[in-house]
Amino acid sequence: MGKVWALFTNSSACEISLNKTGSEYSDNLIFIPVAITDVRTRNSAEKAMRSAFSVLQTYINMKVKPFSFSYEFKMTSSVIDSSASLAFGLGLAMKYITCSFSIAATGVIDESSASAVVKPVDSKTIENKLLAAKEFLKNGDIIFYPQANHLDISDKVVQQIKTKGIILKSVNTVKEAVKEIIEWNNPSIVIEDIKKSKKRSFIKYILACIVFFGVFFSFIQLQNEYVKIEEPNLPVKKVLPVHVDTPENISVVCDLSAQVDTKKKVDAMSTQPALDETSKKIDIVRDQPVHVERFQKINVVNNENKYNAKPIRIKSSITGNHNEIVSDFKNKLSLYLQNNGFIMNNRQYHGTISGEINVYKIKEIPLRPYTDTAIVIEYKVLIDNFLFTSISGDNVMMGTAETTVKAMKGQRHILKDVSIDRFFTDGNALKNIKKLYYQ
Amino acid sequence: MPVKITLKQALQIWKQEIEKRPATTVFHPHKEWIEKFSRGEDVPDKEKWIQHLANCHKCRGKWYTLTKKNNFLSQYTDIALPKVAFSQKNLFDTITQIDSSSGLYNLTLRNNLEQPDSCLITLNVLLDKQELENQQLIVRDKNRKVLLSGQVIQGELSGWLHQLDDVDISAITIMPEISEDDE
Repeated sequence: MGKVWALFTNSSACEISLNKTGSEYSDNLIFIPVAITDVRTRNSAEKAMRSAFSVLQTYINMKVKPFSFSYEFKMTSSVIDSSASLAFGLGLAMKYITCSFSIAATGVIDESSASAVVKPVDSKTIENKLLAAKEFLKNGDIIFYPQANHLDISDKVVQQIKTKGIILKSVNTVKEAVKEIIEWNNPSIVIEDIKKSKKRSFIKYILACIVFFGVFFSFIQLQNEYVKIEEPNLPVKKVLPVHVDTPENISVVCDLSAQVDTKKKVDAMSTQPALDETSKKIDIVRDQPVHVERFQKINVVNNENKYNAKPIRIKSSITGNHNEIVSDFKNKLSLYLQNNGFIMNNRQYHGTISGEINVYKIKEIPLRPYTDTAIVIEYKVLIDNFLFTSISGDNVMMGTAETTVKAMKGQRHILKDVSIDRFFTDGNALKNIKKLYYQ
Repeated sequence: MPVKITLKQALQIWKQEIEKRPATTVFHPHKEWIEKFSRGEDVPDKEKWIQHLANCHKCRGKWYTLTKKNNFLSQYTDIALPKVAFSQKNLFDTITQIDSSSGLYNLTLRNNLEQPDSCLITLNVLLDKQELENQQLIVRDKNRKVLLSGQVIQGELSGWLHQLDDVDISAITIMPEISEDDE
């Protein structure tokens, strides 16, 4: 590994030594001077090393780990010369870049930023310093000196140094010097320009933001969906509900949209997964039964064909878990339709259910202040060969859930003790609940 | 009636007076006597030599410096007795912090990641930083081997520790070092 020499006004040079000490997993850059008694020399050396470290981190875009570094002059301890600071800075850079060549440097650095400027040294002594460096360096080594001292060096001295094969390099900033070392060591490394580096950092930042928000919204969505069963790919035509005046005492409205093309719907329904499978999935996430008491009211609406369905009122009392809530809902709906049929567009229908009532989604939404929860059931059903689909957000039941906070933290499997005690009846129920609780 | 006198005349009179002093000023006490006396120990011919000290500025100066040194030493000497739960060899493979008994100093041992057979020892002055600034301090191990010595700068002093197998840090002494020139 290459050596680093500091040059002094008395035409002498001294090798400097930096050693990594302590832990390999240090969080901070720490500098420990060894046998350097002059405070000014210490301070300038530390500033230069911090500056070089910043250059490596900022401009060169290298992955540099901070360490605790000891720094010292190898041969002497009574040095009083802040012009050794550039040598210390470059010495630190060479700790991260394995170089085969040696360097000598002189220059004053009195700031620790990545853009630190190399200040000139005494113009009368610069030539002596360079000649001193010549004695210790060999072919292929580099001498760094401040650009401001360029005119103080005679051609004779330059010639003497160059005949030995030593490269003389004047630098204006620490960055230039570090860049020179890297390029000389490995010319294939492309050093990024400051602006490009900043631009790249900005793009990285934007990408990081996109990823973050993506993950965040996915998380929120997961929180909202207690159990989500994929909707089967049915050739169902989406219809919008018409406004139906509902009585004040109606607790829950389940909007059903009918479509007249029945043949396709029957085939489609026959391919839907059985409810038992759905129930199994629900059972996995809820380990304790819950007690639920509620009223269920169903409003059957078909607005596309301008059929007005008369609201159906169901009253039920349930003790059980989600599976039982769904089961009870279906039993009560079936029973009501069998007994009463339903009226649509002023015409009485038998209300015969073909196949199963397919509940494809049940959501449990914890609401602030986490003592309330909303349960949403979405389903499809063939009644008298009309396909009815619930419209998202209408079938909402409000209740309390003691452990909803845990659910918010992702511990869905332990959510229990839900009791439904409030109901929303209009078509924007879920929207209104969210507005109420999340604003 | 006032008598006019020059400085030269006054010094001559003073010289004559000094020469008239008793013979105790001619024979000086031994260096060991002054050292013992400065430490407050019992010394022979105490009355006689005390009178000598009163008249001899050289001996009085020595006594004063030694007394000052002894006070300083006793004030700023501290020991550290680290309780190490694992072997001492492992101690040099990591970062170890040791506080001195009186809380005056803190010692940090840092392993060298590049040369594992050496260790960086740093002494930090915790109390009386101003008093000990630029002061020479010496740190010794149980066998009085010098672990670290040098001038305290900005409240700290660092140095390399080699031959780690010979070091016994079960009892560390930290004390100011007063050179002969100071006396």
